[in-house]
Amino acid sequence: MSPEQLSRLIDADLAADSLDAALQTLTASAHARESVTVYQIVGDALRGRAVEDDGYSRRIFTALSKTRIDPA
Amino acid sequence: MRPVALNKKADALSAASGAIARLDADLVRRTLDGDRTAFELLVVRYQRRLAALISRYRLDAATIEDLTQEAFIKAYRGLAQFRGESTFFTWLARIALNTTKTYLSSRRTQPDLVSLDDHDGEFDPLTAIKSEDSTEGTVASRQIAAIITATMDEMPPDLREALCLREIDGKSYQEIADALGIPLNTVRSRIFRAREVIALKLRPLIEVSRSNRW
Repeated sequence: MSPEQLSRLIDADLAADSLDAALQTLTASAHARESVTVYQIVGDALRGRAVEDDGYSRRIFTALSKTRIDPA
Repeated sequence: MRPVALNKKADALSAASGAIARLDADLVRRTLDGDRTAFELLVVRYQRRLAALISRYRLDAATIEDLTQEAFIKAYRGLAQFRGESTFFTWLARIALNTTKTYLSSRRTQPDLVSLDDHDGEFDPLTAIKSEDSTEGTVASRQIAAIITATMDEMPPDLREALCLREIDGKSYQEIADALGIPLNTVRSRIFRAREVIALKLRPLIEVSRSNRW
């Protein structure tokens, strides 16, 4: 998946059948994850939101890894 | 009856927000099917927006982070309860505001905390979401924002225009194409190139804390 497609992903401009490929790319590629993170930071900053991250995301992901989805 | 122009604007906004809602619903479905990356993408998309919402309660940064994390954990645990009757973010915001309200209730005897008077009754997450932005942020946050602003000023006007229409005005790619009279693929390309111009300046900063990130 190209970097431009990752840019389109965060704007919901990818076709639904491309989402699986996008998620596979994000799972496999740290560079892809970084690109999406930076693109999101740019958007959040332009909308006036605080954008620093001193491990905030990582701590959420670590907590999520210890959490299970409750059955419906 | 609303003027035609207003109806067109409402339709376009509805189309843009509808696409986001569909993407989020797809990510929820994939999370329920066992793809954790799908939920991580939702965290990346909404963590700052959620923190901005919680920050309206004038809490310190550590508490805002704790409450944001708690809201995501509760949302993840209860994800099977998400029925798509509202957008994912509205559902998430409701969880975050309830979490924050519970936290404040448990601390309400402390005099230095924000008054609960305005929050004791029913609250409307949609109203709260509309006024969530414009947090002050820390020095680091303001530095990043300053770099982005300076880079925006320097970049070619056609790239800046496309990115502003997308990120600040919230317009869909099709609406931007219509407004600027350019092909859809040109919109895609301009927004991507604008982001990359800024990313080039931000990546050295981000790299320092890469191990802390997604």
